Amino acid sequence: MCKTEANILLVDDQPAKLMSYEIILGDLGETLLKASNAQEALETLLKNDIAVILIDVCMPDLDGFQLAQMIREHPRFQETAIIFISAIHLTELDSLKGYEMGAVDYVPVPVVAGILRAKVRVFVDLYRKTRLLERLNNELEGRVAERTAALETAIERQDLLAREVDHRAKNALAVIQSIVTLTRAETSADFATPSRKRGAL
Amino acid sequence: MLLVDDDARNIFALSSLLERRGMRVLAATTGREAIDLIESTPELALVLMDIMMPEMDGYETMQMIRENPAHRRLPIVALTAKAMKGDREKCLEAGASDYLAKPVNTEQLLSALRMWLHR
Repeated sequence: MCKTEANILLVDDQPAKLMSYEIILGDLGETLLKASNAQEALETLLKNDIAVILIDVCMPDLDGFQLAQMIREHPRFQETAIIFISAIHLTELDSLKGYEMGAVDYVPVPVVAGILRAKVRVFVDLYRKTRLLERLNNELEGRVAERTAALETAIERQDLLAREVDHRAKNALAVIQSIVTLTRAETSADFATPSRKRGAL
Repeated sequence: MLLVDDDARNIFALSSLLERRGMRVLAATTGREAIDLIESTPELALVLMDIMMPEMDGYETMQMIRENPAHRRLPIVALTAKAMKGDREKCLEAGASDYLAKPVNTEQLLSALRMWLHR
């Protein structure tokens, strides 16, 4: 299995929190990209291939929910894993709202380092496996297309051969027919007699 | 196609719309980045360019794109928030193939794209 580094996008307006996520997720050995607002987050998404997005729900300007909704509506990011981190939206109703906005997981504050790391790792693994599956699928489709093309060429060749055989057979038949016609014309008078004579012998 | 706008939120919303219609969209947030992408992407079919950008604006970027003879015929549709008279002329003079006013009307944008992509 290929082990190229996956990109994880961290979105939080507070630099200190971004730094703490960086420290927590540093052990994963993946590439961490940081954004301090929605605009930066969207720009990073447009220019990089992102495996997991970590979003703080509470941000000025465009909040985490709105940002997640925008991301979900984009056809390129419909399957991208989004994890919400939130200090205050902790009621079940709020978690539900998060899921409806496209979150796949929710981490409450105070963040437990081990839990956050484990959750992110699961989604990075899922991303890798999905990518691998996509690649294998493409390879398979390529091979199917190759075989189909080879089969088509073989059928074409067979067809050509059949036409050639048909053509030669017809030619041979025409020659035989004309020989028969000529022979019949030349010996029409006594064509039947010799055989009868031969039969009599 | 390539979308050029200093505000990634605009690119994101537009690319969401266009990718849903089957287009492949590249993004640039500066004029310099746009020029680099155009140079490295010969299969590019169209550029949608915001005029109001800090540093290198849309006019300047278009002029630089047109300096390369290979990109003389690349369709560039300019987008500008200013609805001032003379803007259209200024855009076309700088090398734009077409002009649309911001905020972009979806139907207008799609019909302009259809026209320039199926030329």
